Amino acid sequence: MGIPLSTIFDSWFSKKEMRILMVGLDAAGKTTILYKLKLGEVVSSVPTIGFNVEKVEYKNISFTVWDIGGQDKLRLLWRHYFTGTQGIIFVIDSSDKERINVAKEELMRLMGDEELRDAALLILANKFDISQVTVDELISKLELQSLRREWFVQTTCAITGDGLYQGLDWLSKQFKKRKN
Amino acid sequence: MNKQHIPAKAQEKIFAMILKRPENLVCADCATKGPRWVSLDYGVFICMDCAGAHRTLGPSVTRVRSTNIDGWYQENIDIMESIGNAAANSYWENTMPKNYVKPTINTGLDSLIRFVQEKYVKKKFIPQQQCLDPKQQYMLTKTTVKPFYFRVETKQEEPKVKLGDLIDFNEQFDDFGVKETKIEIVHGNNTQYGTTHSLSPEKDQTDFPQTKQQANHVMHSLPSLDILNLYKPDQQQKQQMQSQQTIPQKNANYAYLQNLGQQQQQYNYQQFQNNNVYFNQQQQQQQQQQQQFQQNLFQQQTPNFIQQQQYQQQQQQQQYKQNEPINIMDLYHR
Repeated sequence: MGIPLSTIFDSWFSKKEMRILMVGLDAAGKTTILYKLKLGEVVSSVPTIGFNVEKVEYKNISFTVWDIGGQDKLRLLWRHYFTGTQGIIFVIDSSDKERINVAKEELMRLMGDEELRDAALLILANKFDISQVTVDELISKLELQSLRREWFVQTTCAITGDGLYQGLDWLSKQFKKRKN
Repeated sequence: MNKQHIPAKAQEKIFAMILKRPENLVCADCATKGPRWVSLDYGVFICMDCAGAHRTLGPSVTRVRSTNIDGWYQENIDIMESIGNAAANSYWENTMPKNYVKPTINTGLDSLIRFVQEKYVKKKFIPQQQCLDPKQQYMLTKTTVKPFYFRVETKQEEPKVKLGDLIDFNEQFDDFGVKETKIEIVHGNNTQYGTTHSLSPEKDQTDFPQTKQQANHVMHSLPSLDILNLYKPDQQQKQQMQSQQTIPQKNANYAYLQNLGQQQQQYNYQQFQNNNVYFNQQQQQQQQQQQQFQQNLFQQQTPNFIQQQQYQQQQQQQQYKQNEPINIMDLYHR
């Protein structure tokens, strides 16, 4: 009798850990999102060289979010963080029309990696409040239909915090689904 | 989308050369040494903190790139090569008050963001005359952008020794009774001599024949084009600038000094006028006077003096070499 009870108890009250990788082009707003989630306030940031990592607790899950710099030459280093990653947050700057193609290429390169085969893919369309695109346009430009996996596009605004927790909601659902 | 970044090694070398220029040694906004970031749409080299500030403006306003951890296209390197901090700040900080305190890294990121907003978005310090900003001018001409308006500051020093006083010859000769007029050119002195190493030198003449000045030419919406015309590196202007820098000789005798003292007052005054006269039309007349005057002066000069001038010429030529446009194919071969 003791063992099943404790497992139920664990599943309700103990914290689960989820390792999240947050990547995207430079100046997409990754660091701002990370600290908005962690501190609840907007910090003015300088370009990230290397990475920031914070633990964010939400809905009984402790998300370890790795925020990695997105400059051209730093993108080559992303793959070193892949091992053990359960979820990817790909942040795009929806107001940056010129580089949406670059974002698409980077996303496709990520999705082609063997280590990320089982990771959940959350796409945050950041700065959506100042952009003039629709979600459908974004999806077609990023060619998400061609992906053979589950993905979710969430529009966000890192400064007000809109949409960030909806994104985490989806990630936690995916996490629970994969556990079962 | 098939554009290729230039090779990493070439990029490294090009930026090492561009960042070596005196105007690019410090950040355009906060004067931190060794800027390694770039605000592409303003053509300035900035430090990392200011890069953070520039990023808050958004990608539609300006694109922030790193000189070392970003890949670069040729066209963007051309922009940085031909604008740079001197030309950009001569526009964006043209009317900045002298007592204005710029923010530094120590005053915090928020003060930098506020300053960047004021400087580039609210355009508080741009010239009062309407003209194109450096990026627009570059897009129009595709050549090196020269600094816009020179702010000429004159310092007049009180004579320490009056004419007719007994002079102790052990003292330095700088102290004789001449009002010295030091002319400082803000923002990069080497660009003023006419280091117009544009990527295609013929373009200035062929593309803008209409910019030749008429008799009653009024400065209006496109003064920057007039500047292109005015700053052509002719020998006369070079000579003028060289003679400005000369220092009185130590070995000269007192009588000569007395003589020169009177002359130099006039002479400096003319020089000063001439400096302001860049935008006037009677430049030629003044130049002729100037030349006659220089000839008079030259007869009095000692051989030492000429040697000094030659040395200065050599130095200037070296400066030109540093500022030459960078031929990328050369770099590939190296």
